[in-house]
Amino acid sequence: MSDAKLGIFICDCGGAISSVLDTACLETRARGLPNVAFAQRLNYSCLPDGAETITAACADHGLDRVVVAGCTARLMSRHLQRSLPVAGDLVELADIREGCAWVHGDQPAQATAKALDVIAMAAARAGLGQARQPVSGEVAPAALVIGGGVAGMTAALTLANAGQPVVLVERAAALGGALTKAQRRNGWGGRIEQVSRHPNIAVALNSQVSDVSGTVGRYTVSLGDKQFDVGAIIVATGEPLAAQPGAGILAHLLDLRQDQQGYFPEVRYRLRPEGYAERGIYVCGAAHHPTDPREAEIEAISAAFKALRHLRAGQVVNQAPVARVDPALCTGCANCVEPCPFDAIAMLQRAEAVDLAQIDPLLCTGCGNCVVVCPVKAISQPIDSDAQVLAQIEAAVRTADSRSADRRVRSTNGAGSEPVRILVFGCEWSGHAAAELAGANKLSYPVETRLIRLRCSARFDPLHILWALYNGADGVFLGACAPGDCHYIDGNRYAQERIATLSKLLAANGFDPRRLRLAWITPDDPRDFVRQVSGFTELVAKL
Amino acid sequence: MITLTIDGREVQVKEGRTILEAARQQGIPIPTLCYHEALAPFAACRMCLVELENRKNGALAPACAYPCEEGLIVQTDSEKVRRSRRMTIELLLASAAHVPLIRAMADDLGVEAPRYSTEPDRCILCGLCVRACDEIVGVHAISLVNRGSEKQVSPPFHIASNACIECGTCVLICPTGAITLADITGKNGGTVHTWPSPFDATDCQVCGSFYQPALLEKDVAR
Repeated sequence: MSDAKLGIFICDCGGAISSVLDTACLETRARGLPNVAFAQRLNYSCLPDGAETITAACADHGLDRVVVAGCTARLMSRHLQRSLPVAGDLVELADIREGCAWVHGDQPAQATAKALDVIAMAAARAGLGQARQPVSGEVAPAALVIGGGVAGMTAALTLANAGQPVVLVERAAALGGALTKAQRRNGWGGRIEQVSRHPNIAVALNSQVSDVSGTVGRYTVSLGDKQFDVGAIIVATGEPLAAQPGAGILAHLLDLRQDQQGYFPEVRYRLRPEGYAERGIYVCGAAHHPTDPREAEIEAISAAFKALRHLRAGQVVNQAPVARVDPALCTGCANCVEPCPFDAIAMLQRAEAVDLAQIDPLLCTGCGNCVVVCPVKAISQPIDSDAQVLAQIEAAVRTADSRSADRRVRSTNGAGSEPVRILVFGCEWSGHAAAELAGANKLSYPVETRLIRLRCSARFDPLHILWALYNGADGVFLGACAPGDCHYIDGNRYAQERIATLSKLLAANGFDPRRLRLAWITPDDPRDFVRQVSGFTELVAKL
Repeated sequence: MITLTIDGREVQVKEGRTILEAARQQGIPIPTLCYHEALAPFAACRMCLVELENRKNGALAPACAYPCEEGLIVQTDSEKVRRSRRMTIELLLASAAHVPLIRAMADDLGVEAPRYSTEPDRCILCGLCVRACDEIVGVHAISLVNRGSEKQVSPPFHIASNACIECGTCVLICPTGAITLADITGKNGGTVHTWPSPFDATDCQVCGSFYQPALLEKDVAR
């Protein structure tokens, strides 16, 4: 195994945890886990004294990764990552408060056994953890504005007045776009003058963008036979787009989404700000939705300032756990290209060799979809790596100890049936979020569940599920975002297809397909999560 | 190290620790509402007020934000402190009596029925959601807007916020269950999570060629 030196710190949380769980027992048992060099009980890991104790232990025992067994990762991990001396990705939280003490308070023995599993799972994960490397790129100090109407001229002027060189491309022979003669007489005409004479603006009339290549931060724009680099692109092509022959090509070149009328609706990331690099492509004016000149002007200023902030930052940084391709393993099958929700993967054609998948590290958001589809496992991710997930599954299903605790308690309670073990994979935006919320609300759910958090349901890997079932899990429950709610566009749709196929395979191989269930979970409805997980556990117990 | 006295117990702490941190390490309970270990102190709810016996004529100070001082004598459960907390919880009861957490805290302090009542509102303006959105998630999609009795948690201009990533951290941290993802502002009907949806457009009835939002169709035809 790895040569990691792990420290495990178990919180009493002023009694919130230790009043239910036997934390002294957890401390002793944690010392026996693989790679654990040190384990200690603390009152509070989250308070400054706790952080100092952990920091000192790291120095004294040469710890290079830390598991804090305490409360929910979502609220506490960033705070701990800031206050502890190891890299953020090497700090794991084992949720024994919301995940154990608060939801299984009436079954302390089983709750303690579950907590030990939860700690073992976090330790297994931490032992194989890698610190992600942020990726950065330069931003070319120039902007392209497409469209010479009110929105385009305003955006160009705003950027030019702020000192940025701007290229303004207009398809027609004159600036002004859809402005009427009356509007030109009533003040808007002056803007055409201003734009034409501005030293920072190069106006290209009778021109169309023929190609855009490059990536975030530096796009190479072709205008006929001319080529130049820009860091930001503002699309202000006006309406009606559906009637404009070039709109579809533009949408394709800039990877913009078009609605059924041909407008470009907002491209919005529902990811944490560090999870992606700013693309530097903005839409304003009537290209976005029908506007009058005044509204187009306001939108253009807003878009220009967004672009300005991006240009002035000078570089883009992507801190997502970017997937990587092992060139020695890639067979050039191109399976990974289509599932990537952010079009980050392209095939590189090589002379005298098979094609090679290449992932643009600035565009990758680390959802893990490509990792799942790769048939030869050539793609890997630093967070939620295959090794980590498999190790977590093993820790969850193989700990004989908590099963015997289950059995003991059941036999004393007179419940005769064999204890079951349910693995719950949760997308961090839905299934896992609802589980945490159930914990915070102290809503009890079956103690037989073991929770594994993944970044997206696209990462629900059939291989992991099979591994779990073959290694003794009695059921696998997958909590994903409802259709349309996926933060990585359509990861849940991929999950649905994969689970459907896997169910058929299971049935063909003698497993009851009811042992596998994919459920749509609303992140803010913990009662629904409890209902679904309880129902599934009951069903599996009867099989 | 600093030596101070909390409830008659001599306590040694490092410089910079707050009274609440010192008390927690000693296992001395101080009730809190707007405090969270992962966030900077906010001192808004006034539930953690403690009496500084030998400072400022026994003034009350928020334990979550007040740094320990050498020789300080702190009372966390004196009559003066309890009176202040009873008043605070009574004011919270006026609007949030139906929230189990507030009810339980009121019971602990022996407050039964409040003398005041306003429109029921689960939100107690502790600001945890706003600070979590800023400090933990890093997107700052919601803020505390307006003043006094008009104060509320809201995305900018009470409309769906483009900054919101629908992570639900605000829902998780809210101590009173006041937030769901679909509707954060309640009264104003604003949401934090609807996407800018594509509107229905149609052929213009006047010129026949341009697309226009279906909503405006009637106005134009008229």
